[in-house]
Amino acid sequence: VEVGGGTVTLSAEEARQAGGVAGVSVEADEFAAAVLPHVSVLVDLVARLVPQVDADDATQEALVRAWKRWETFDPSKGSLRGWLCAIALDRARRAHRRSRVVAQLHGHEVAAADEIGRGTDRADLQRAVATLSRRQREAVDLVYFVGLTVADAAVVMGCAEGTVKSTLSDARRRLRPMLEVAP
Amino acid sequence: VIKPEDRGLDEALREAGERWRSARPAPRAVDLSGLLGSQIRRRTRAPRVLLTATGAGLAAVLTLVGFMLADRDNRVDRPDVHATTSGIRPWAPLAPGPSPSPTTSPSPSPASSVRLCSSADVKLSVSPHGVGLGTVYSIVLLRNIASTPCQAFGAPRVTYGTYVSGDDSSLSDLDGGNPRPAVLAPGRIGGFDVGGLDSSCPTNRPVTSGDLLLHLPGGGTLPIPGSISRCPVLFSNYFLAVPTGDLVKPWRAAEYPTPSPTPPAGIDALTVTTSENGAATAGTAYDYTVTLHNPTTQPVLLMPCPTYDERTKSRYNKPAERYTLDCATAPVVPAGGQVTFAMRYQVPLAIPSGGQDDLIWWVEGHDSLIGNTQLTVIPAAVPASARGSTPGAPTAQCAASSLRLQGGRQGGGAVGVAQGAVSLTNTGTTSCTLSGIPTVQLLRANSTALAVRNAAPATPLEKALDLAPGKSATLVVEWTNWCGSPPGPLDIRLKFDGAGDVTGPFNGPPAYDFVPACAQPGQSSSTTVLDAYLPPGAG
Repeated sequence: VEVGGGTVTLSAEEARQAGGVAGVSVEADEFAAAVLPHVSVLVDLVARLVPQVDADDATQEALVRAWKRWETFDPSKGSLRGWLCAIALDRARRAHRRSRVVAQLHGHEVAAADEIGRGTDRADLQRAVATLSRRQREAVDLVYFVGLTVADAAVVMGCAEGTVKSTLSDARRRLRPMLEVAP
Repeated sequence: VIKPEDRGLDEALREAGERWRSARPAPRAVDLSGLLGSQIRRRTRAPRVLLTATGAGLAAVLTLVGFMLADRDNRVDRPDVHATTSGIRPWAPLAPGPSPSPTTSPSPSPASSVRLCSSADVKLSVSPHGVGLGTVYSIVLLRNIASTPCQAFGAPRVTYGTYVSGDDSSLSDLDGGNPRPAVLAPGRIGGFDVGGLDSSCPTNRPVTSGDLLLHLPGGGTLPIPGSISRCPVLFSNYFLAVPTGDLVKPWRAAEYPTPSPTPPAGIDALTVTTSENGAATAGTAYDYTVTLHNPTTQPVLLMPCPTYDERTKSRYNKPAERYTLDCATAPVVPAGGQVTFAMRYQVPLAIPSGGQDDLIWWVEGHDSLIGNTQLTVIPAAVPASARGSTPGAPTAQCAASSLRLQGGRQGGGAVGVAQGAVSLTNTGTTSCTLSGIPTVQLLRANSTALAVRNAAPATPLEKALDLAPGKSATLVVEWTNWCGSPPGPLDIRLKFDGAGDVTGPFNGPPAYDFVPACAQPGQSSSTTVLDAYLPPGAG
């Protein structure tokens, strides 16, 4: 099955078997069909916000986590995409913390987030975004770079939609003089 | 609502985001089979036959897989027809290769022969606390300071005052349902993490050394050292909610492996060359070679065999195919020497823009190990029965699949319009007729369509043209009134009514900023076919 750039290898037989595991009542194929359209967004999200970890690994871990929590997903509290993104970010940050601890124990240097390439941004934009506060950068990354809606970004950031909008507005006000973009 | 003064910035940020997303490599295959059992499979190791191929392509891939399975089963009996050139290693068999860093496979019960860790065996340390998404975590690590191995099994039991972390089976959910014994050899480390929600934390008193006690499975208690969090209620809340056992993980050694000693000269010292550029037929297997060179004065060990990825550039948004290098036949690249491996790539049926593509081979995480072969992709031969033409009969409408499109540009933004001369070449084996005006789409590098209206020609253009095999005709497209910033590299797609579509490059290189002037702000941008079809030399 291939949707949204991600591929899930799960045979129908496997899916049926999985449906019976650990008292989980939903069918795995139902789960797989629901999450597939979001896989590439999750990978982008991790790559953008926690570039130090392996985005594919973190996404996979997040999907397994989501599967085990599938029954706790409440659509009235936000979209599936937002819910999955929150889990993926959580997993990625945990993985990053773990790797930092292990690296420190073994005396390895750990590159800071800003030293790690974040793709093909123009350098000036990259520098300008780096001057934003953590929350502002998070909002810019989620909405502009990962491409989430404001509603989904609000779920991920754990705040109201209006807060995301005002954070973005603050971020733009701070970026404008640095980038000298004409209105 | 975006403030008027922020609109330009908003657009620039969106474009930067789009550029960033389109430059991202495709996700690897996500393997949800970890749902089935006790563990998360962290990587896709086997060469997945990704279900991205269709029709004949899929059949061909499956055939190839079947062959490779047979090859593996009958390795002694059947000649390896793929090792065509002396010294070239056959490509990897289908069997999953050994993992790059071998880990002990987890077992659902304690390893019976190893004693449980007691407080005398281990030394505790704690990571600096971390905060993420409203949750505060700390990682508690145990190092085996004894001279013999010990194991920790099940959920760790941590107490904070009268609060006790639970050990019911729900705690093990993070690792897939089965607690794994962490067998710690002398000097090795195991660990778990603890945490709670900081949103429920009303006070700010640090939890200091001695507040939290870890009860070892083999007996004894150790204080968890250091300052865990600024928020003790966090832990009392958490431990009060023990039946859900949300954040205490079972023991696991595999997450904290001691790095294996680095070989004197690792595979990062190697460089890659791939075979000469070549022509490949769509939908068939393309054989090429990858040579690993060792410029150092030390032999380089390839074992355990690394996994490699291959993908064509045009399929940048598709998962790469992943295989294991069949290095068992050549486990060492000698100092100053080289080893060549045979590769086989299943060429997709879709013809890339302009018929040109790059086949990229790489070993993930090793920047020096990447190679590139340019491919000219030739459409698959159409079976005679499907050609739809018989000698003497009128020639059939050209199917888009037998046309190659090459964009060009003429004119320029200065006169307010951009004109592109698009060349269409008959790549089939019989003559066909170009007729009808195709619908025009302009596509960004990430394949999304530009918001451009497709206008009907001002005057009827009904110039049908017969195109002999190998011959080209020209169609002229005019693009007007682009009021956004230059969208970068563009492809043009022509959709022929009932005969499919064909896509090819529209602008550049080297400059991709070729856009028509913004003559009427607020009006939509549009494309019009000005002329179709001009015979060769008439343009």
